[in-house]
Parts: sequence; structure tokens; C-alpha cells
Amino acid sequence: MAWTKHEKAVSELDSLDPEVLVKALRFIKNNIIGNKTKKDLYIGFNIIPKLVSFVDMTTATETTNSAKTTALQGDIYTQVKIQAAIVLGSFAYGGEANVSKIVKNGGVKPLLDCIASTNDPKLIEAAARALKAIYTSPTADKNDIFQANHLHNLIILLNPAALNPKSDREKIASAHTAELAATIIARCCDTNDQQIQIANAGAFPALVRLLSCEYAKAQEAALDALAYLCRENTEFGREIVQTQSDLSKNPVKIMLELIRDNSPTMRLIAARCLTHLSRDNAIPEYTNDISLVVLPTLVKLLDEKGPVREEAPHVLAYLIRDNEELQKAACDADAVSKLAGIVTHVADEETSYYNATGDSDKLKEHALTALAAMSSLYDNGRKLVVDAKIIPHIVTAMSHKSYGVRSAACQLTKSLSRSVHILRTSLVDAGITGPLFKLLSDESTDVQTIACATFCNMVLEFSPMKRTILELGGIEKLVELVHSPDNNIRLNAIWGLKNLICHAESDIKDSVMKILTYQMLATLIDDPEIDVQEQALNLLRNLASSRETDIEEVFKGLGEEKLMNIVEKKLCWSNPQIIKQTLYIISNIASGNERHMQSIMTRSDILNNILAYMTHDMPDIRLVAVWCLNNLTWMKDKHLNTQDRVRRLRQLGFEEQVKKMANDEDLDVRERVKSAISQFSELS
Amino acid sequence: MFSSDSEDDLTAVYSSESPSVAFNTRNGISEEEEEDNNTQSEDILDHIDHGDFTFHGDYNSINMELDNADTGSSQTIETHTRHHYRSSSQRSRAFSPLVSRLASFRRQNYNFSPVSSTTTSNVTPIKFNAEIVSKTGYGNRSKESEQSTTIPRCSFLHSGLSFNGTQNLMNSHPSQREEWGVKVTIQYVDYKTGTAIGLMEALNVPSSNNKVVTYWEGEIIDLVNHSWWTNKWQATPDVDLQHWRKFEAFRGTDGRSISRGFLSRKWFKQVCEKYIFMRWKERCFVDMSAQDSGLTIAGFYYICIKRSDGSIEGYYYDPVSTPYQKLTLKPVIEGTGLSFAEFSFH
Repeated sequence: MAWTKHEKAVSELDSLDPEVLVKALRFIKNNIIGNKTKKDLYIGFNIIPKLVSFVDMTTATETTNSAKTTALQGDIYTQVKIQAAIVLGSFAYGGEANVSKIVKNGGVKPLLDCIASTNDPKLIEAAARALKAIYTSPTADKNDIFQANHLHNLIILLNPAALNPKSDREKIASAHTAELAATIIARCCDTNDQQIQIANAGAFPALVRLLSCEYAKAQEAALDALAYLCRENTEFGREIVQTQSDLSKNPVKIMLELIRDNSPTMRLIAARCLTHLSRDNAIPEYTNDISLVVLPTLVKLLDEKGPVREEAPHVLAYLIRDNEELQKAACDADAVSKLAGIVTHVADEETSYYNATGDSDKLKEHALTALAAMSSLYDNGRKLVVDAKIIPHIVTAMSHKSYGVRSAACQLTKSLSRSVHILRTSLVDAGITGPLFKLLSDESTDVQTIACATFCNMVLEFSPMKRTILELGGIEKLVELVHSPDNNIRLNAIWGLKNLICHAESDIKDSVMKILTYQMLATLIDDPEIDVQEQALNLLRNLASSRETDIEEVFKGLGEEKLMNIVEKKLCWSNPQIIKQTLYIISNIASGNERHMQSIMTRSDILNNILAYMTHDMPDIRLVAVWCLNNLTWMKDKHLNTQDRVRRLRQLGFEEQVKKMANDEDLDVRERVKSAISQFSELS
Repeated sequence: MFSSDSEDDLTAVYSSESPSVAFNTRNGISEEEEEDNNTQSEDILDHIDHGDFTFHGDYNSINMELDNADTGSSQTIETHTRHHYRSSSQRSRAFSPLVSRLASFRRQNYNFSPVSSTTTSNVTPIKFNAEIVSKTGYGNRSKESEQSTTIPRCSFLHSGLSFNGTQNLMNSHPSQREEWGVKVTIQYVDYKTGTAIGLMEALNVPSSNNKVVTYWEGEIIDLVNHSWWTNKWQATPDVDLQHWRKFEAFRGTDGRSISRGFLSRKWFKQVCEKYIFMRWKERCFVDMSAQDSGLTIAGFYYICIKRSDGSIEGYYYDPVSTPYQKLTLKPVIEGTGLSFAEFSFH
């Protein structure tokens, strides 16, 4: 059996002669670069552990008092290290499976040891290139880089002059090394803790300086790193803005120049960096630049191809989220039709050229997410989305294989359903209820959560979809989700039930409470999550409204004692939303019959708290406190009980207090104050 | 024409509607009315085209735009002819608020003779965007709109509340006075967009044996989303005035003062301390065909809610129906007061 030349090369890796090693490694390198089959072949020969051990060798250049001969010999060993690092790097670019093999064989640490600036620049570059590929993989463990001196060494490399390049070729190589170092940093700040460690190692001045270098790729990498270092981190955003490089140019000004670059990639990365700074509220003085430069740039990038087009809607969505003005600006810039075009046509491109350059699923997900962001607050945006005729595509996307796409489709539906008109027309016509209902049982918790949130808007009394949802078993499903250990799902489910019974007929309320049970409601009212508590109290408030018989049901269901205990306890909380919902429960009970009012009148603590909340800072709370009083003093007839109540409330100081409120700053509160005063005066 | 003094009112409205530009009286009132009819039918077309319910901005934001208009932008926009704005490209962008802004500038200036279209064709809407945006800036604009946002809420204009009362024909002879019971339920209110929806039940209607339920969509007059001027549903400015002036809110105020008051934000703020004004437009019958109902929903209601007690006064307008059908409603009190349930969009 004859050896192939590849098997021969592999066997030569066991040689003790460094010259042989270098030759064999060069041969392997030349075979595998850009060739997946050959990479797999050599990995199959299990050469990764050998490569790692070569990179891990201690060579003469790293020991201090070495003789000249050994130094020469060291040079040849350095060649071995360089070639081994290049081969590892090439493997790592071959995909995630390869990366995890290198990581498993302990390749990361030796590579990190290579990047000390005292090493041969070529070795540094080869190792950095391999590390960049490794850290780009989402599964790579990022702990090693934060050990020893590695971060420090990496940051030194951000300065292209650190390696003392002489020739033009060396200068280009050191700029490339700086680019690699910046990219490694950008991939290693997933958590706040990682951001902090990198910042503490002195990354900001070095990166800002790199922004002004003359190598576009290095500038892109520096922008990229700065963007991820300040993501969701206001403190670092401000720190970056205030970082002055030697060239003493404001970093934001540099970014605003780079966003006008010819390269779409540069424009995208600069836009992302400025977006992150803007979301951090680190550059409030640049508001106009955000809406007049960053936003239009992102919208124009939607016309690009490949990764840039894939990422642009993602950044755009993040920029305009929670900001109605920017949502409007994005709509004015015609982003809706561009994104709708992507959503409509991306499926057709799936098998053609797009697959080669990017991920069509991601593109679709990002386009839907951007549309959802554009219509989350801005009502006209919703209308534009409907006019773009993409609702059928949203419905289809709800059964997409990628959970990201399903989730984004739900998100967009949620945004659209906030328009009562669209809820009552376009969404019903598209038959969205069934597909959406299935997503309540999706295998992905993310999808379930957002589907449940969307359902909250569809079970409202005026939603034509409510009936269908009830027939599909919507109550049972929401009650099932209320028991979820996931905080967000539990919140959305109780929110949905609260909406479902709002203004509903008594029989709907009954069927919800039969399945949910009052015991569970009481549990949710004491949920560890305050938001869940608020929704549960709101649900109780909605149960006890509209009809005297509905209030009676709550008294029976919870029991008067327990009900009033809950109210008394919750009224002492400091959270204004909890206070408000609790006061509405009291006000609603007070609109009931004599017995219902009496249950309040016998609780001095409750009465005193209502009185105290009449001077609360929030007008909404003062308003409902005064409504409690209005309902308690309502003159249906001059019944003796009413007179008793008025007398008692007057004794407690209610009349005195309400008279002090005649000039309340809130118009509605003043009106309710007037009617309360007149009800008191009728029984003076 | 509904009343003799309406022409005066009309003059007052239009003359003060364009404070920043000279008023061209040469053409006289009759021509203005013709203009107005044109605008109106165009508005109706727009409305049908888009099947819109919220009616954001568009032609309804005249008053607000007047406040914000400065000479620079009005001059640029003056060079546009009305014809220009009717082009299909403009129509397709009709929901861009910036275009709405232009549309209202157009109304502001439509007494001007058209200028040659050569000047206009060079100017694209995008350029306007940049001009207007750079002048105001988004940051400033959001602050501005916060200040001018909507009207103070009122407990009685709240989802879930119901109102009982009657609708009657005011002008018919006392001996044949017709009246039927009405119940209105408010289902949703959004002060931000100035919209509301609800149901209206007509009981013992003279022409029908059944209870008739309709679904309506409402506009709150807030001078942000909706102005006093209806600009659609065949209601001309003088029809608007004829109806608004009937309300208790304006009793004792002459037509001229009202029409002048309609242009003033301060005056508006004052009347809104006591009342909320709305328009309710019935959109469809619920669980019933139009024929079976024996009623028409071609018209719409001018509505006034009294903040102190929630009583509602309304006047129905439909050019082909009996004039001045009056709606009188009071909040339904169950038990001893009002209860408030609440939902929230996620």
C-alpha cells in the first residue's frame, strides 16, 4: 500500500528536524487554504494536537540569555510555530466544528501566548488571525483571553507602530495585525463584565487612535470594537465620546466622517457604532445627526447586498425602537416599502445567489423586526405596513422553520394590532388567528412569549378575533401559561386574561374564573414579579366592574374577608401602579350595593389610605382616590346608610381634604372634586 | 345654505385662516365656495382611496400648522399649484405627515392664483422634507408636539362607559314629533391619536321593529389630530359652523365670534376646560343589514361631552336626512356610582 503525499506530510510532522517540519507544514498549508475537503482530510489525520504542541513550544527568541547559535536555531523553530499557527487558523476558518476541535485540544492558550509584542510580527499576525476565526464562532469559550497578560498584549497591538514596522510591507502587516486585534476585542465583549475588563485594560484610547489610521479595514474593526464595548452601556458610551486621541479629533466627528465613506461596510459599521452611542444617550447633542445622517444611511443600506443588507435592518430596528420620532423619520425615508420588498422577495432568492453571501433567514427576520419597530409606536407606520400588502407574508412567516423569523412575525403582528382599525380589518381578513394560536405552544420560549403578548391585543372586547380565540380554547391556553415558571410568559398570560375579561359579559368572566380559580388569582397577586402582581390586581379590578352582580361574584369567589385583606395590604405598597390598581378595586366595589360599600366603611386603614392618596404626586392616583369618595357618597336616595357614610367620611376629614383640592392642577381631578363637594353639601 | 349669516361666517373663517399671507378678496365669496366644493370632493376621494379611520393630520391639522408656519416655508410652498398636489405620486404618499403638512399649507394658501408649473416641477417632496426638518429638527419637534398634545382626559370619555338617552327630530311639527331611545357604549379611547370607537343602539326606532346597533369611529377635536373643520362627509365649513354653534357650549355666542374663536388656540383651551368636542361616524350595522335597520348611517354626529357630569349633546348631519336630529345622552349609573375596568395594549 502506497502512501499519499498527504500521509507523507503528516508522518513528517513527527520529525525532530525543524527544517523537515517547516517543509511539511508549508506543504499542508498550501493544500488546505481555501479547500474544505483537504481541511477535513488533515483534521481526519488528527494533526490538530501536533499543531497545538508546535505553537506551544518555547523558542529561543523567548528566552533571554541564549547563545547566538541557539538563537539561529530559534528562528527556525519560530518558523515552525508560524506555519503551525497559520494551519490552525486555516482550519478555524473552515467552520464551527473545526473551531470546537481546536478549542478542545487546548489550542487557544498557546495562540494567545504568541501575541506578545516581543514576538516575531509574523507569528503575532498568524496567531491573531487564528484567534479571530476562533472567537467569531459563537460557541468559543472566551475566558482565556481575560487571563494573564493577554488583554494587555492585544491592546498594545492596536497601535500599528508598536511592532516597529520599517518597510511599507511591514506597515501594512502591522495595520492588519491591529485590525485583527480590534476584531478579537469586538468578539469578546458579550457581557457587561467583559466590557469592563477590556475597558480597564485601556482599550478606548487605543481604539479611538486606530479610528484615524489610514487603513480602512483597521478603521472598520476599531469602529466595530467600540460599538460592542458601548452596547447597552451608557457609562462606556460617554467615556468613548470623551476619549481624545493624540490627533485630538472628537471620536464622534470621526465616526460621522466614516459614515459617509464609499464602502457600504464602513457605513454600516459606523452607523452601528453611532446607533449604540445614541441608544446609550451618550450623544444627545447629535440628535440631528442621528435623524439626518445615521437613519437615512441605514435606510439606504437596505438597497445593498449580502451581509450589509442583512445587518442594516437589524441596526435600524435597534435605533428606532421606543422612539416615535425616529420611527416616523424612517417611514418618511421610505423604509417600509424597501423592507416590505425584502420580506416579499427573500424567499425567491433563497436558492439563488443570496445563499452564497448571506443568510436569507436572518435577512427576513431582521426585515420583519425593523418593520415591527417602525410601527410599534407610530400609527401611520402601521398603516404603511398594511398598505405594503405584506400581511399574508407575515402569516406565512409564522410557520417558518427559523424561530427567529416566527418570533419577528409575531412582533410585527403585535405592533400592527395596536391599531384598533387594523385589528378590526386587515388582521382579521388575513386569517392570522389560527397560525398565531399555534405559536402559543411553540417549542421556542421566545416565540411563545411574544405570541402571548400579541394575543393580549386580540382578545379585547372589540376585537373580531375574540370569538374565534375563545372557540379555539384561548382561555384554557392562557390559564395554562399563567402557571409557567418563565416570568415573561406568566406576565403576558395574566395580561391576556385581564384584557379578555375587560368589559366582558358576566358569563365570560365566570368561565375564566372557573378555570383560573380565585386561589390562583390570589397567588398571582402575591407573585414575586411586581409586574405580574399589577396585572393580577388589574384583572381583579376588571372582574369587579360593570354590574353589581359581578362585584357580588368576586365577594363570593375570594370571600369578603380575604378580598378586603388583599386590598388593605396592597394599598400600603409604594409602587404607584400597584396603588392605582388597588384603588380602582375599591372604587369599583364602592359602585356596588350597600353591603359592598359597608365592607369598605368598616376598614379604617383602607379609608385612611384613600384619604392619604388624595395628596399623592400622581394625578392618576388622586383621581381614583376622589372617585372612591364620589362612589361612597353617591346620592341614589337619602337613605339612612348614605347619611351615616357621609357623616363618618366627614369625621375622618374627607370633606376638609376634598375642599383643599378645588384648585388641583389636573382638570379631571377638579371636576370630580366639585361633584364630591356637592355630594357632601347635600347632606350637611 | 342653512342660514342667512353663513356667508359672513365664511369670510371671517377664510380671512383669518391665512394670517401670514395677504388675503385675495378679488374673487369674491361665490368662487371661494366653488373652491371649497372642489376640495371637499377631493377629500372624500382620498378618504375612500385609503379606507382610513384615524385620519391623521391630512387636511385636518390646519390650526396647528398655522401656528408653526413661518414665512420661509410658506413661500416655498406657495409656488405649488393645487394641481400639483393632486398628482398620483402625492396621493400615494398621502399618509406621510410631512405631505399632510404640505396639504394644509395648500389649504392655507389656496386663494392664490396658480403659479406656472415650471417652478414647481423642480421641487421634489424630498427637498421639502429636508427643509422642514432642518428648520425644526426632530428634537425640537417632539418637544413642540408634547406641548400641543391633545386635550386633558375626562373620566366620562372612558372605555366601558355607557350612556342612555334619546334621538329626536327637532324641526318636525310638534304633533308628529319623532323620538327614539339610544344607548351608546364607548369601547376604546386614545387621546394621543384623538380617536375613539364605540357602539350605538337605537331602541324603538319608528321605522323598525328591531333594536338597531351600529359601530362608530370617533374623532376628538384636539387641534393636533383633528380640527373643527370636518373637510369630508359632505360637510362644508359653514355646515360645521351651523352645527357647532347649536351646542350649549356656545349658547349666547354669535356665529362670527365662534368662527373667529375656532382659529385661536387660547379660545380652544378655554372651551375645552368644560367640554370635549367630537365627531362620531357610524361605519356599519352590527349583526344586521342596512335594509333591515330602516335607518341610514350616511351622515355623522357632531358631539359635545360635558366634563362635569358626562352628559352628551349631539347633532346628526346628513345632507339628505331631516336636519338637526338631536342626540341627548347621560351616563348610565349602575348601583351607586361608576366603575372603571381597564385593558392595555401590549
